[in-house]
Amino acid sequence: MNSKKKNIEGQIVEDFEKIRPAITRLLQTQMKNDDISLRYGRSKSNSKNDIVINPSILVNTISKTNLDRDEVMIGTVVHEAIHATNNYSLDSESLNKLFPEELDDVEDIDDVLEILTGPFGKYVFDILIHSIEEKIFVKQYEGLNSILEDIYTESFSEIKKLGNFSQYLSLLFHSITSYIDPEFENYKKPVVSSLNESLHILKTLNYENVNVSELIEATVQMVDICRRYNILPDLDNYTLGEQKEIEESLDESVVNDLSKVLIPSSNNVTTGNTLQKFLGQTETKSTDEKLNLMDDHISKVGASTTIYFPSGNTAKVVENKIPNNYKNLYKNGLETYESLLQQWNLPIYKVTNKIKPYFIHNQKRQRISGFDQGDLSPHVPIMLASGRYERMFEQKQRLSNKSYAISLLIDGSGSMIEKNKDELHPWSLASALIGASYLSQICFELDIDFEVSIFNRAFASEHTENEETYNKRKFAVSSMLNRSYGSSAQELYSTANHYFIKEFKDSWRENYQQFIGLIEFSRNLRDSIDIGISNDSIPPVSMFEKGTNIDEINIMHATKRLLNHPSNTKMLVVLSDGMTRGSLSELQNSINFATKNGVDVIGIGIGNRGSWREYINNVQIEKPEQLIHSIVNITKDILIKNIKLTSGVA
Amino acid sequence: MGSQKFINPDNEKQSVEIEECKLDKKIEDFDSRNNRIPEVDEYYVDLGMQYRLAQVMNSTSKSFKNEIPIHIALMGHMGTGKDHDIEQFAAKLKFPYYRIPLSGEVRDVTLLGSVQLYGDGKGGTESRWQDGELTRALRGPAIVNLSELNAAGPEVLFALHSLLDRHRKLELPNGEVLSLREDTYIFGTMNPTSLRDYAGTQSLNKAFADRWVIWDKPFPNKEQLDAIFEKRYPKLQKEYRELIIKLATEVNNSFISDDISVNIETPMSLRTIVERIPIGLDVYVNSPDPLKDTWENFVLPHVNKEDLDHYKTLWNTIVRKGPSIKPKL
Repeated sequence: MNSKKKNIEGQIVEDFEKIRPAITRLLQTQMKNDDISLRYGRSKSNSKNDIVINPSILVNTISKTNLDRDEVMIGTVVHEAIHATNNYSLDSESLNKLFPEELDDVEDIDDVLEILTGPFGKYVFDILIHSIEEKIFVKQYEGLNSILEDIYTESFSEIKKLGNFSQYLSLLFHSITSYIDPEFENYKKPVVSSLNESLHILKTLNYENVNVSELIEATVQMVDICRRYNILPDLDNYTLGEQKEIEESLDESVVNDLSKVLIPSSNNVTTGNTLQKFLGQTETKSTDEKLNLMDDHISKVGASTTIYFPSGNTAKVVENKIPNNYKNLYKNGLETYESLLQQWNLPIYKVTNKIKPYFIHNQKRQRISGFDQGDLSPHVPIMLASGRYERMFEQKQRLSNKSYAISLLIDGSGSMIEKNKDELHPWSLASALIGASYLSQICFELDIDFEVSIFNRAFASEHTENEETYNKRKFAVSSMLNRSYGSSAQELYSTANHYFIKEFKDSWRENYQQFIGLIEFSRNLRDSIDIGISNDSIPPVSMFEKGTNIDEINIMHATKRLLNHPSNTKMLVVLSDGMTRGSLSELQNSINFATKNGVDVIGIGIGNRGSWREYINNVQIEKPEQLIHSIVNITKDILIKNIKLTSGVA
Repeated sequence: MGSQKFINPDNEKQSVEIEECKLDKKIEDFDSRNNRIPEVDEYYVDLGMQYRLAQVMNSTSKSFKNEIPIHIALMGHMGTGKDHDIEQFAAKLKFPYYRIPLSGEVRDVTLLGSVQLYGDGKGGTESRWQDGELTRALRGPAIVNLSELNAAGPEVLFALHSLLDRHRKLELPNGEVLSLREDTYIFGTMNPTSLRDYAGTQSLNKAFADRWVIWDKPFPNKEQLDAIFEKRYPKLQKEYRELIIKLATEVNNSFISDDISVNIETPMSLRTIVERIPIGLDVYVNSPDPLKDTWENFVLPHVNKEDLDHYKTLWNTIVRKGPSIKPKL
């Protein structure tokens, strides 16, 4: 939260209290209900008469506007109250008459819309309800109308920058509310054509009351129009996994887009609470459960490890074991792994032998080289051939006594599973995992202490969760945090997560299946779980979607573990696409801190979008085929440098 | 002697006819009483009260031959027009009208009268009885409006008890007993009593309250205000009229709320709505926003400081920018 927002939030309570009595009375009169009360806060609404104005809505609107603050406050509060006061229910009888064959005993609005319109109808329906109830209320108050008109005008030009479907929804809103003449001709042809056709449907609607059945019928027609003009995809042409991805991506973009051009409301699509007005009826049953989940989440965040940066800043990191269900993807994962090695021409087993000697030389034999007489190392030919040894004999009397600890950190952010337009599958995370697998295999074979973890910044998953329970908990915590913590919700919701695939103390064999399962997911994404296993067995793959990362938190965290490890040579390998959301100077300081304390930090950059300049030792892999060669070279360089530093002789 | 017809505004077929007052020129105080007959306000809009008052007057005098002592008190907030109703009732029936406020400073001697000393012109003095305001009214045909009934002190109430009950007599301190004439009618007005009500008011003494039939006189609603504007300012454009009425309705809704967390202390009186604001509009006729200037200079200065935020919020919600056309009054 920036300081401007903090200041605004500080003043909002006072400003809100100035307008609260008048607005409350206005609503009481308008709704013919003297029991309506209006309050500012993050706690939940106690009853339908208790309207709670979420501070984050006010802060967001007020911090973005250049209009008169008091007026915007009035507009936003009344706007929020309008959309908080009306809850609707389905008239099953009239719906069954309209759609006699499709709706048999379906009573939930979500299901009704899904059946009649697919996954996207809910957005059209939500906008229709939102627009009409706003129109009904606002038309009675010219002042309010002009305030809202000014607020909408401020962001109106942004509509042009939105995706087609978001443009359609925004312009549908303006066509109904009439604050602004949308002038359709300024927009893309498919959007204009869809809107022109939709206007005929709008003319038939009732603007005196919200008629739910009528709006569902209109939604069905409008979604059909959107499909015909290709502003909504025809999901039948995609696999189940792709359908899910399309839905989630559209959901994210619609929520993001509409929150930019419409005034956000806690009760509709602009804050991701699509159909909230209907869900509100059953909400009380599950609210307690949701509150418990939120409390558990907050406790977990509170109890998580604090990372202290060299700059004095601190951050929290949540530690967890990687969800166990990834092992259920092992079988397919193994095939994918083998095929990737072939496809990318990675002779991993052969090449492993090229780097082993450098470890063995220092660790197992505990001798140093560079003498004209003494013992002969079995790896001397390689050392001599690579130019690392100038003299072939080693001496016993000067033992290096080396022992290693290696931490492998894999970037698990959303960008690592994105694919380029010309690619069928993503490769960044898959290649990072194969790179980690390569180093892990060496460590495993040479009995070097190592750990493997994957990190990201998103809603944290738990070890025993499946996809369904993860998503259920995620949405519950998200909605409760938004209500209870307003603008601070996002900070509590998305945490820096450190998922251990294998800790130093763990057995690699026991965790190998989860690791290979991750490779399967990293390559095939949602198709990887479309394999006929039960819902209980599906790993929570959503934990990686939309995630970001902050490299320096994880580097400091891993450095701390390495420094506590009794080994005398420590190495931290970060496999990342270099697209950190953190601070580059903090990243630089963290790497310097690790280096000064004897940890060799190696940055292995995947792809060509990020930056690895902050890593003293770095290598960039632009194609997966370069993976092993690059890892071998940089690791070898570090090992040799290390040998030089400790023995003085190579 | 002429008569006046009072029509039920809700059903024009129903009406009550009542004879006008005809003052006898021979009565001693003819001039003074004649001067007390109010002018008919051509802009007055009967929202139904005149018809109701006429019904009661008709019933008590014709059906019950004035045997049952019944007096009507109108209860409403400041600015609802309750005194104006009684005054116009008197005007229509051509009755001398006496409005006697019973505020806290009024003592029984002020109402009833007292013996006062006068110079005799020979260097001495003589004592003479001087009628009080109420006594003077009751000596002839009159409509008496005892306003602010619930502000009256105990001695005033005591003095009025026997006048308002079956005795129908006013006992004066000089021993004279004045009977309530059949052509004299007593009405009252009062403010509602609640926690935040008017200074000096109290709940009516039960014995005193029992002598009255109390009718509510609320703030006029939207349709009633519309009718008032239509009659008084028929040229005023709809754009102005609707906004003024909406402001008045919402402000007064806030004023009458029982919820102390949302109510305000300053209502928008009929005087503000149909007098102050039209004058303001005329004064600021050439301003870019006449309604806004009127609001700021003719309305807000009368508003309690604590209520200003409330008024401003309602202004912004309901009007924000007034009509840019020149108001026609």
